[in-house]
Amino acid sequence: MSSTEQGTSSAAPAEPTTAPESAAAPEVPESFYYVHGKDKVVHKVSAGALQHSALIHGMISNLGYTEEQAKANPFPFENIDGDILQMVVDWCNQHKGKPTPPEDTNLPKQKEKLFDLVLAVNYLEIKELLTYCCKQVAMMVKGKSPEEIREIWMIPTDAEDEAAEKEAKKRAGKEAAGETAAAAGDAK
Amino acid sequence: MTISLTDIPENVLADIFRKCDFLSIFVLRKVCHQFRNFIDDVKPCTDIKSIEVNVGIKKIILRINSYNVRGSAYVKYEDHPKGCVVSYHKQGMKLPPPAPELPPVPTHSRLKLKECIHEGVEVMTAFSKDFEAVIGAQRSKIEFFRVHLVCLRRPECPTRNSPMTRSNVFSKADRKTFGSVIPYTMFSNFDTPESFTLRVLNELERTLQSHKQLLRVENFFMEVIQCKQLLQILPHIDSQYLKSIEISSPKIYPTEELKMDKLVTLDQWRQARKLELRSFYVSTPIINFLHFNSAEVNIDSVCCEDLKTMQQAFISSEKFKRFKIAYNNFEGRENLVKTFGEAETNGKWYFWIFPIPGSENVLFLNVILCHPHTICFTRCPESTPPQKGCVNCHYT
Repeated sequence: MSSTEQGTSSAAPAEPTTAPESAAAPEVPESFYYVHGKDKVVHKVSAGALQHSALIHGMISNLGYTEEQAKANPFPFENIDGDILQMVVDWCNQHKGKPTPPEDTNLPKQKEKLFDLVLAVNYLEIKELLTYCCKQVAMMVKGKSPEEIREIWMIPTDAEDEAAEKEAKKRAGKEAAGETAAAAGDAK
Repeated sequence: MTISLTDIPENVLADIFRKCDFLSIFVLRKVCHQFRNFIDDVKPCTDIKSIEVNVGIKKIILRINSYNVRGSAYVKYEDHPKGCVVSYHKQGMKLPPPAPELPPVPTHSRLKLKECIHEGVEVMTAFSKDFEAVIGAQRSKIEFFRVHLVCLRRPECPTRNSPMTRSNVFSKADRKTFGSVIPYTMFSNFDTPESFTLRVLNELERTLQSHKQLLRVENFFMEVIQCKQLLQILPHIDSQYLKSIEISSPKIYPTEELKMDKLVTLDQWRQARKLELRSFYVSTPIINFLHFNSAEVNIDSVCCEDLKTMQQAFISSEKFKRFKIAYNNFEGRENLVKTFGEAETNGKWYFWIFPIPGSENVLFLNVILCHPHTICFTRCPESTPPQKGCVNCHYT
């Protein structure tokens, strides 16, 4: 914690960091940072919006980039799809400096997108958005039977899982036997 | 590649499961072994308020109430020619729109969510697996654990509609023939309600025995026919958490004696502070009841010596509140005044006030010699005395 604070104070003058941020925000010109996902499309995001992400906030604090440095070095998130990163950036912009509402109805309803979003948000450590996403997934589970849940999320049954494991073991066994046979042949 | 729910990191999965209601957790546990193990390890459900087992005729209902009124649910296990039917129900409180003059009265809405037929699975097996999961999911203490033997209750008046006394295994034609009372002879091909109940209780005992820790329950309620059924379940309750014990019989009127020699030796009995023992008479020495702060029992025979012992114990117990006895015989009732001194009386009832040294409270003794043959000790401030000659109305 103390190292983060030191990092911040070395990058910026000491006074503004001690003053309350919300009060200082309108007076000080807002700084912007840049992020890109798998599709390499760069998104310009204000520092205020990025505060939602503990990961990016930590990176900003530690790196102490100037405006030019930030522009030249966008934060790369190669593991996040472009459209998902766009969604995250939009959410951060919408909720910049605002108290988060108890429910967010704008979250994607398709399970694939929602799960991608969950993974991205978890990686970026955006606590509030992760809470909304988890609630949304919990809502999708509600009222479903085990079979329906298995179908929707393509989860194999225990029997299917066991069969797949057995097959994989068999294959591995065969391959190992093949290798030993080949090695024995070589030795001869 | 499509992401599955099983690919979600564990911390997020735990977060999702914590946001699920109990019924969803119950269902998720049956999805795959990863989820089952994860739920058993993480125990994401912490808001279980009560667990209730209702034993019906060839059916068992496992009811889970959560602290969230909307989070209450029950699972019904019924016999089926192919195996058993498991249905999931949601129970919530609905407030109707308020009438112009009257305040709104909440009504319970029951919503059947899902019904699955488990082929080749017996009712008992399906129930015990789920019961095991429920008690396994318990992280902290629960307020209530109740066992109702609905199938052994006396059939109600044929003009009344009583869904709990009938099972769906009977056709409408049967119901027309027999009205709402199904004679036990109809069960010749099945278990009798008694044998079915015994099997359920054995299964409950087995599951509780196999559970690593004792069940942490504050208030325990059980309907029993004999004390030995109580002894199957009560020893598996953690006495450290137990506050009250309520024992009843599916039969309405107290006609039988509850042999409680072993029961009174249990830690659970000694640690509990509240007792309600209905539908049975007891003839255990009164000394076994004196640690309760609040009790309601039917005692076959009382005498002035017992009452004197109780008076002395309750005067010295700071936390004592109320002890109500319904009795059959009062031996030596003519010695009441001799034992306790002059009383306020009308011949049918006697009323005493005993001061408690060093306390603002006093001990009231209300003895009713006519119907309903009741004796009641109450410890409370003198300014709020119980009604003389009436033990059901607490205060005047």
